Amino acid sequence: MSRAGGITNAVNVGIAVQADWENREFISNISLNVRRLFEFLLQFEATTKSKLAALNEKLDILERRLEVLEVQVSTATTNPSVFT
Amino acid sequence: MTQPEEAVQNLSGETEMEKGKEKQEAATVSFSLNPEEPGTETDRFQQALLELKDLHSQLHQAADYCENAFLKAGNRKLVLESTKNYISDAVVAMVDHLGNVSSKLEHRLHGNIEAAQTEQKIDCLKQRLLTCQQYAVSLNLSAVQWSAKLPRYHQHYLSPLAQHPEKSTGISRDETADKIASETPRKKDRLAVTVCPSVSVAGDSVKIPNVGAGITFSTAVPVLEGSSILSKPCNSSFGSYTDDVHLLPGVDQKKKSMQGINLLSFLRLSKRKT
Repeated sequence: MSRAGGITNAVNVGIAVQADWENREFISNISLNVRRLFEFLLQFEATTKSKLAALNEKLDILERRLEVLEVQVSTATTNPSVFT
Repeated sequence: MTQPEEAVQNLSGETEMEKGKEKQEAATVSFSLNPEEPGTETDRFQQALLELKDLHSQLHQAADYCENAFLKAGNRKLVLESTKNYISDAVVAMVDHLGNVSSKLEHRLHGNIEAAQTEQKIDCLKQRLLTCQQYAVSLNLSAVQWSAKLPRYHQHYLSPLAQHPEKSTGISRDETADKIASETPRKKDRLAVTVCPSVSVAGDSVKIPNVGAGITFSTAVPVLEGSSILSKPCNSSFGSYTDDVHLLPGVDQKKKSMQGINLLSFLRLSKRKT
């Protein structure tokens, strides 16, 4: 009787250990996926920042060129003798 | 708390979890249908970002609920399994949302043709302005190339060669003017020379050998050489005699003969003084 109780206890402990390992595996999988997500977010932030910086630089260059053109046009309009 | 009450609570907890799950799935389904909706790219990106923010708050609420349910529930294994499933679905939904947002942002950045269009417009404007400037420059150049008010020198200061160019070359005045304008300034200076009164020694003009038959020697300076040369007095001193001769074209080679003449005139003057 006592031997049977000991066997069932051992079985229960084994089942609990197995369940515990399964839970640990699940948690490790989830944490790994979350880390991957985090890495992806970091990489995405870096690439997005660089692309936005490139776009900003491009817009700055365009703005400067537009200002130069405006100055040239205003100079030409103030001195119409240039075009006569 | 009795066991039936716990069971009821567990059931109610499970039903609430199921409701939360359904809500999550509904959000995912509604998210998956969003790309089909018409709208600008910016609106879609904003909508995806808002959904991501909503998902953040929903996940926090779901985590709190699962924790409470696990602590209060009698059948913890069931709650644990449902929580596991919920976490798996939530991670998948999260990845889906992040992919959607990132792809839309990427598309937005790559599909930004406004900057390229603006660049092309600016290039077009620049080219137009350049064309206008080129036209203005060409007009100014044409005005410089032919002008009715070309500089005319007084006849007194023009050499016989420059006075009658038509006779010598047989071309009209305009053509001559154009030709002169196209020539280098140095050549122009050589053509337009001033003629000083002929240097006379004892009332006679001096004839220089090897200069030219029938040409009386006279000092000639270029008109455009400046006032420093013209302001020099044309006296019969020896220094000016030789200095002026240097300005004639092709006279450099005859320097020695000029020095001989100077010596001759010096001897004559010394004879008179004696």
